[in-house]
Formats: sequence, structure tokens, C-alpha cells
Amino acid sequence: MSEGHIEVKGLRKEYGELIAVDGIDFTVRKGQVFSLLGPNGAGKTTTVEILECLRTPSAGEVRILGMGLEQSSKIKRRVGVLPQGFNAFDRLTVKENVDYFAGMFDDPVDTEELLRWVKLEKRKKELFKNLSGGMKQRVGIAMSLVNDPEIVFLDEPTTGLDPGARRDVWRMVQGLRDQGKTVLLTTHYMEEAEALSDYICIMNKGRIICRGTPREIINEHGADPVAIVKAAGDKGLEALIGRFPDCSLMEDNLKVPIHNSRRIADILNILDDAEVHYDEVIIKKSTLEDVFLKLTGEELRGGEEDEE
Amino acid sequence: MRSRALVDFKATVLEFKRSPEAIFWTFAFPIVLMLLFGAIYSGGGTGTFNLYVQDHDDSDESRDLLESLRATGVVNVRLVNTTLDADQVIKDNSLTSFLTIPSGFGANLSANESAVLEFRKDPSSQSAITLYSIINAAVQQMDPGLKNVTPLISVEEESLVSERFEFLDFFLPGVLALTIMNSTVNYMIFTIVEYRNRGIFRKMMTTPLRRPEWLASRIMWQMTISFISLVLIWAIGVYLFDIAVTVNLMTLALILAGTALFTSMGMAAAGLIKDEQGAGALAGAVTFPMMFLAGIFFPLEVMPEYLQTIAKFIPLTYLAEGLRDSMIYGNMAGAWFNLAVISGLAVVFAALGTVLTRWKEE
Repeated sequence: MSEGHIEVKGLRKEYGELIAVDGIDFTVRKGQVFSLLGPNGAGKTTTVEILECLRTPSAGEVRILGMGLEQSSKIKRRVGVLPQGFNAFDRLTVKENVDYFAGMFDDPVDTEELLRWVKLEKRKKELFKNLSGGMKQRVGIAMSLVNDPEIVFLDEPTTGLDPGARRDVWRMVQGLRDQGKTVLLTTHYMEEAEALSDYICIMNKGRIICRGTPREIINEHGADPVAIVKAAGDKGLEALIGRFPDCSLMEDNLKVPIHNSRRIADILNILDDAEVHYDEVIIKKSTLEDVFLKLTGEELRGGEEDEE
Repeated sequence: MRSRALVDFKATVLEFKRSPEAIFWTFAFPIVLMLLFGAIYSGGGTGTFNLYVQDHDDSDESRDLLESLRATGVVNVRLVNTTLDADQVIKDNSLTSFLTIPSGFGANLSANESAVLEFRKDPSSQSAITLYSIINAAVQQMDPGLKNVTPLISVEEESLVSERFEFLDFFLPGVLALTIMNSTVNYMIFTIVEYRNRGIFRKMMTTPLRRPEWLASRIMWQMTISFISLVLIWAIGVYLFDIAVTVNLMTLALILAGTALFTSMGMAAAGLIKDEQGAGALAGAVTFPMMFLAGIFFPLEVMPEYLQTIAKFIPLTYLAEGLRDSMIYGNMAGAWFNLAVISGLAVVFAALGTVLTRWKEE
């Protein structure tokens, strides 16, 4: 008996020559926030759309809440989905849109309460088309919860949102975890995966290239923290470069790897002795961003422009 | 199943009510068509025709004929001096039609012998065709004895003859059929393409809503539109143009079946295209041939043989014919036949539409 809410084994999806998902395995446990992290085209959305019963896999085994994909109509009653690039009916209000999807299920939750939870109760009479991107996304989250699902799929829920709206969505994801729901999240934002996830699979080109808790991944694959010294002037830079040959210079920012914490004190002392003015010194820990760069040799960013 | 279709139906009504453009275009089409054709074919003071006449007879009978032409209210009789050469007059004035009453016309009629009128017309002129049928009708009204006179006007073989006063009647069921087809096919294609491109279908697919339920909701909705169109067209026909048509249970059944058929056809057709640019082209490709080949604007009998054959393969033909059978001719057998054809096609296309509709982008 496995306690996995979602179990995936050897999953493949091919479109003719193109292999979108190339044999992946993972298990999502009950109550976990599980993230598929990766750049566009990594196969994240294809994977979740198979789990949402929207696409048929070319090969592999999938079990959701103990059911195979052939039981899609039963699965659909027990999961909630926020699709990528979500949209609703433009000329219906927030409440009407949520009620519409509640009406598709036999035993929906109270939509008024749901709207309060996503903080849209004051906007419930506004037409969907007049909402901001962040509010639209919250409508989408409310819609994905109308059937009180055990698993919630959130496919790139914050793409294209401003930082404030992104934080709102994050709080809601945390709220879902507090309610004990299992959340499967896809994102190409490292900090999002890092902030929200209990478990992460990093995908690239249809494969899972790395997995674990955020901490495990960074500890295993991350580099040392770095100190970034900003605008220390020629004299300051000269002194630092002379002392730390393994540092690197980007414009007038100097990156110094911190093998041990003594180096931090060393940097400050050198700057002091040189009597130079500098803007700031930042100590930056290794992030998933760095891990991805290290593992693939590619930048993760630049996803937003490609969307839609 | 019923309840999910109803939820969708309710949402569609709300969305429609909030879209002035959608309301305008849906109902402007039948109204404009009715007004246009009504104005053209009913005369009604606006559409009058000049008829140039050379009366070589100048008898009581010829004057009676001209009087009854004037009495239609559609014809301005312009008498041409009999000393002039008719061909020269036609040429000089670029006339498209010219009526000559030969001398002896009245005398022949009095003697119960055949009388012949000479009507010259430009076959490409719509007003000449209309005048021709008006003259023919006037002659028939004038004297029952004349009905035996053949051929009354030897230059013409035209099946529009004597249908002038019925043409609007003929046209009304056609407008109704055309409206049902046009609004239904267009609405379906554009809605499906929009829902697909905006990912609304993808969201719907993650719920228990099934495609047959969605199709059922669409059919209910399109039927609502069809019935509103019926009321509009009927009201315009009856109050503005004095058309006498019947609306019976058969008419309603035909409208239901026709709407189901074109909803399914639209759904099937939308499965063939990917983007919004394709939608307009596709809607045109489906509706235009049907519009012109289904005997909506002209009776099928006046079309060349091969077009009549093509018309048999056009679903709209059966709806127009069926509606004419039930609304004008009172031909129940014909209406039943057409209803059967439409219902059969509706089932085929509903199956096709359900299979072909892709709810997601690949």
C-alpha cells in the first residue's frame, strides 16, 4: 500500500517526432505541495495535463487517488484544476463564473465562502473581463476549489503577475496546504518553488534532472554562498582581486565565493584598510536558480516573454 | 445531465444579454433582409416601376388593362405616341422593357378570340421581370376569358409569372431558414474557436461536463434565438407587408430540427480549424454556398438542372422547403418528408460534431 496521492511511473508523451515527456517517475504524497520546476518546454504542463485527464500518455503508468486514468470522470470529481493561461467567461461576473463551475459538480461548496477565502467578496459583482490579472487568477483558484478537491493542480499560477499579486497567490497555496490539500504546482520561478514546495522535481527537456526538498537540492547541488561587493571603486576592486583569485567581476560588482565565514570578515577588513567607499556588501546563498544553471548550463529565466 | 446543460444555458443567456453587438448582429440580419425584400417586392409606394406603353388599339379593353396596371400602385404607365418607332424609343431612352398593345386587341377580346400583347424586355433587368409578372397578373384579373389566351406574351418563358404577388410569401420561410442557418452556424463556429483559444474548453474539460451536455445546451440556446427570429420575421411580414403565412406545430418542429442540425454542423465544422482567422473564412465557406444554392432567393424550379441537383445535397434546401410546405402551401406530406431529412442529418452531424470538437489546443 502506497500513501501516494499521485503516482507516476515511466510516463512518456510523444507528438510525432517530438518527445515532450521522456519517461519520468515521481510520487506526490498526501498534503504535500509538490512542484515541477523548469523552463518553458520542459514538459511540465504536458505532465500535469495528463494527470488532469486532458491528455493521453503515450506510455507509462499513472495513478491518481488510487485510480487509473481510465476512471477520468471519477478523478475529475475529486481534483481541482487551474489551467495554464487560465480564462473564464468575460461577460459573467466573478460570482457567476464561480457558480457556473460549481454547477458542474453534484455537491459543490458554498461559493460565497470561497469568494471570501480568495478575498474577492467585494468584487463578486464585477465582470471577469474588467478584473486585473491577479484577481482573474484568484477567480481561477476559487473555481478550482468548487468541488472541495483532494488534489489541486496549479499550472503556472503566477506567470505574468506583478510581485504583489504573486504574493497573494503564494499565500493561497500555503492556505491550501494548511487545509491538508495536496497541491501540484508547476512554475518556472525558482523562488516560487523554493518558497512554497515541500518537494521539488526539476525538469528539463522532458526529464527530471534533480529532485528533493528545496534544502536537499541546494545542499547537494548548490555552490557556496557568495559575497557581492557593489561599487567599491578601482582601488577597492584591486585590493580584493589581489587577495581572492577565485572571485569574478561583473560590471562593477565583485562576486567572492565564501568557503568559510571568515572570508566575510576578511572582505570587510580589506575594504576598510583600502579606505574606499562602497555601496554595499551582500551575502547571497546559493539558490535553485544557481542549481539549475549548474545542472543544465542554461539560464532558467526569460520565460515570461515566451508565454501566450 | 440535464442540470449541467441548464447551468451552461443560463450562463449563455447572461453573456448574450450583456453583449449589445451580439444582440444587434443576431437580430439585424433577419430584420434587414425582411425589410429589404419586403420593400423590393411589395411596392409599398417606394418601389414603383415605369412602364412604357404604345397603345395602338386605344379601345375600352386596352384602357381597362392600363387602368388595372395603374391600380396596382406599383406601375407608372407612360404612354408613348403611337406614331413613334418603338425600337427607336427604346434605344433613345435606354428602356429595359416596353409594352405594345396591338390594334385589334379589344376587338379580338370582344369576339372571344385570342389577343396577344407584345412585351419586350431586357432579360437581365430585374424590374423588367417584375413588370412582366405584374402585367401577366393584371391581364388575368381583367377577364377570366383571357386565361385561355396562350401564349399571352410570347417573348418570355418565366416561372416568376403570376408569382409576383406571392413572392414575399415565398420569401418569408426562406428568410427564416436562412436566419436559422446563418446565426446558428456563425455563433457555433465563433464560440468554439474563442473558447478553445482562450482555454475555456480546457477548464471545462477538467469538470464532469461532457460534450453531449454542452451540445444540448447550445441547441437549447440556438432554439431560443431561432424562435425570437421567427417572431420578428413573422411580425414584420404580417404588419408591414401583409403576408399571409401559417405557423403551426409542423413549423415549430421544423425550426427545432433545423436548429439542432445547424448547431451540430457548426460544431463539426469548428473542429476543422485552429485559429480565429480561420473562423470567419470557415463560416463563410459553410453558409454562402447554402445561402445561394438552397432556393432561398429564387425558386429552385427556375434554376438550371445541375444547380437543382446540387441543391438536393444542401441541408438548408430541406429546411426552406419544409418551412414553405408548412407555412404557405399547407403541404403536410412534403413537410413531413423534409422534417425527416433534417432530423436524420441532425443526428449524423451531432455525432460528428461531438467527435470532431477539440476542446484543447495541441
